[in-house]
Amino acid sequence: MPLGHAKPALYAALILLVSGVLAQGLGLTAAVLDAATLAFGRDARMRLLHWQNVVDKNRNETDLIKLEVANQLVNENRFLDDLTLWDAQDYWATPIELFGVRAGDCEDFTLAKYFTLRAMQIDEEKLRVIYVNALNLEQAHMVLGYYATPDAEPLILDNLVRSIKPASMRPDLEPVYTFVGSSLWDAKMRAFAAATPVRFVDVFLLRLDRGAFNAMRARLTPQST
Amino acid sequence: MTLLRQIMFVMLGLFVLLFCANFALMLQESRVNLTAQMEAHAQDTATALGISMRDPARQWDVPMMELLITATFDQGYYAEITLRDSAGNVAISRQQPSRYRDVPRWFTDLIRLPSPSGEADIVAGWSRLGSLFVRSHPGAAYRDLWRMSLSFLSLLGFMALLAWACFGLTLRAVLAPLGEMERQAVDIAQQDFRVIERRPRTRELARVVDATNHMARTLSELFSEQMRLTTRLRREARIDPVTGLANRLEFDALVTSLLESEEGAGPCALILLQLRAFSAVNHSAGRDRADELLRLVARRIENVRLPRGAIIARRAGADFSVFLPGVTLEKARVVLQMVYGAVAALDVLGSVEAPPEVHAGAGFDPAPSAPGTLLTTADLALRTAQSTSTGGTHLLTATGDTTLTEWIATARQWRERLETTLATRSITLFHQPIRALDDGALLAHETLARIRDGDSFLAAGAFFPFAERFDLAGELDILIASALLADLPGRCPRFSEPVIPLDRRPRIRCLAHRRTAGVIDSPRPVDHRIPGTCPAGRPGSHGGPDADGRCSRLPDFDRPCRHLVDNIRVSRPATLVFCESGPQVCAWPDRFRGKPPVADNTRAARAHPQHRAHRRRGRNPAGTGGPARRRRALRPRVPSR
Repeated sequence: MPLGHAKPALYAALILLVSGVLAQGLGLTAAVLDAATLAFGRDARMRLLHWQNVVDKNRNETDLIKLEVANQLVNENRFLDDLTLWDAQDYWATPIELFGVRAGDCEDFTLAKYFTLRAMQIDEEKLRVIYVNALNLEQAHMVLGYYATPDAEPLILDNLVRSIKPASMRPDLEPVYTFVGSSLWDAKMRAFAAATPVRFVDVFLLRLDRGAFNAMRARLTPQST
Repeated sequence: MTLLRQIMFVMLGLFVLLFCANFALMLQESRVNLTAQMEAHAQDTATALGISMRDPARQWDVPMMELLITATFDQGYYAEITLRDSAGNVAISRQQPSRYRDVPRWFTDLIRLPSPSGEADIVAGWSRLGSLFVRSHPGAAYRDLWRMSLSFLSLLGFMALLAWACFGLTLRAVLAPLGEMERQAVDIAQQDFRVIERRPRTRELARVVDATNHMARTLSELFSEQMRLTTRLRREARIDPVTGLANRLEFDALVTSLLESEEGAGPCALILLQLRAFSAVNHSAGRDRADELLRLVARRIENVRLPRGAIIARRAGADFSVFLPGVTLEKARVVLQMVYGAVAALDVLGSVEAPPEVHAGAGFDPAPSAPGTLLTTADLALRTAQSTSTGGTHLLTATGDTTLTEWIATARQWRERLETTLATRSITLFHQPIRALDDGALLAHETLARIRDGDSFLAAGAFFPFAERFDLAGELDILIASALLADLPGRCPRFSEPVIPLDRRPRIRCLAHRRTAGVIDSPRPVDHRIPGTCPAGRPGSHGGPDADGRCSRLPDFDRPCRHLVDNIRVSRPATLVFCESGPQVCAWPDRFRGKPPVADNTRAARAHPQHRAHRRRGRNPAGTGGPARRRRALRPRVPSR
């Protein structure tokens, strides 16, 4: 019996309490870590702690270093499409789930990078989630763009091409439209909370409460071992 | 304020409080939802507009972009749509002041919905050319909230009314026993110890009702016990234990209160009756016998037809007193005679060894002011009566201007007088018609038998007791009947010839009917019990003979000539009925019981209890009573056996 089932209200209260302290961070409280352990195992806890560590350590670095660190950390995960991984169409996983299962698709990568960089205190105005058309794959794709100034050429953080490159060096991508990451996330996650902003930690806990990972675990565990 | 109303107000208050809390909660919830909705709306519009402006933005085609913004702005609820270039300068802006029609100002001030906004980029390729800012207009949200509040409040009002009505009815039903208990309490205070029959369903109330019922029963028992005790004590204090009459104390109190009442008593009389030397009876016959005698005297006095309001008492020893309020001198005289007669005619007085002499004196006061004068006068009258060595009655008036001394003083003199009357046949009859109240039809004649005494007449009530004592009553009856028959043709022309020889002694025969007595010597003797001889004037007109030919009831004579004689032998107003089958005297049969009391009727008379006859006579004295009462007496009655 998962712990999260028993006391969701307690979790919510705890999260509210510590969110003030960790407002700038990822919001990975002990309770969240416990919940993640419950959902994805002890290794997941270690990965999340590592992630937290990386964020904390690079908080005072330059933007470029933050971009590099975040891109590298997130791109270590495998690419798996939503249908295989979550048995659902267009499933937006939280970074906790991404690190928990060590896999995700383009949205998961992009959002994980976005939240990591936001936790490292990069200005929201400089970051845009960009819907692009991956011309080689002939597939809709999502990348994170970094705009040093509003009208500058963005740096593209992508999981297809692991290294960060300026937009002009990515002829394989055709930009469609850009979004502010938080508002896109909030719009997507409206189902989870009436009030914005919607924190990914809360989304994860709610999903855990609803038993969203039970089926996934049962499906994935034999494959991963 | 009644309990019901208090409970109702508290209840309504709670109801309203609850509803208000509910309302506030709902309002808050709606506010959050509407805000989220507006926020989403703003963001969606910004995104959609940003995407649609990709192409015109490429050449920074301001008129085209303005057209798009205006089109979007005009068809939706927006407070502001602003387009800024990448440097942050406003390129295009549309704004709408926050005016809210349909919603009162105080409501918007109270609710204060936020006006959330959304932002989107204007992009061309990888480059961001500007940003779009959209702010939602909360007008529609205010209107929705306002409408919702109104419908909610009207629902609240309706529900409150409904709850009020339901609750009121329920409470009223539940509390109804309280009213009943209140009435019971008031009744108990007024000494009506009734019990609530219907036990309330509410347990607490039921217990209270049980308790009060129990209390009412206990109180009722206590109270009736007290009443019994009081009555007994009162009796012991005011009633003479031997005779059951009032004692002297009670008598004096009653007379005094009557005389001193505001209306006054009018002319009054006080009769004092004394059995002289009664102590001798005590000695010779024993106390029990003497007490019995006193009781008998008391009954005899009581049975005399006394005027309304008369008070009888045993004053002391063998002294009796009768107070007569509102009587005339003549009436007082008659009553004095009757009372004296009733006692003096007692057979039993002769049964003791030394029979006491009876004396009666009456004081009459036309305008009494104090019981003293009346008593003094009566006492004087009694002494006067006693001073005449033979005993008798005496009447004095308080003013002293009239003194009537009765000529008949002793029983012996009575006997002589009656025998003289019988020998000379000097009975006098007075007749007066009795008519029905409604149509004035002649019902009967009332016949009053009197013995002439110089200028005045002696009433039957006075002489009949003596007639009975001396066994002369039968003779007297025959005398009266004969006189009546002789007198008949004058008043009932239909019976033109006298049908009875006056020198013959009439035979009195009992009829089958219990209420009728005898036939006086009809020319053709009729036995009503013999089939076929029913004396109905016209058989069939009154029921006639039955299947056996017997008369089942007294014939309802066809226009009979009826006479009610005030005192005929049976000591009850007998009805003399003359019908076509012959003249008949129908008297009360208890005395006869089928035994024809002919010549030697003394035996028959003795065989029956005398007091009974006396009582009957007493109730029907001469010349009193109205037609209505007579009429009742006339009605033929169906036999009860």
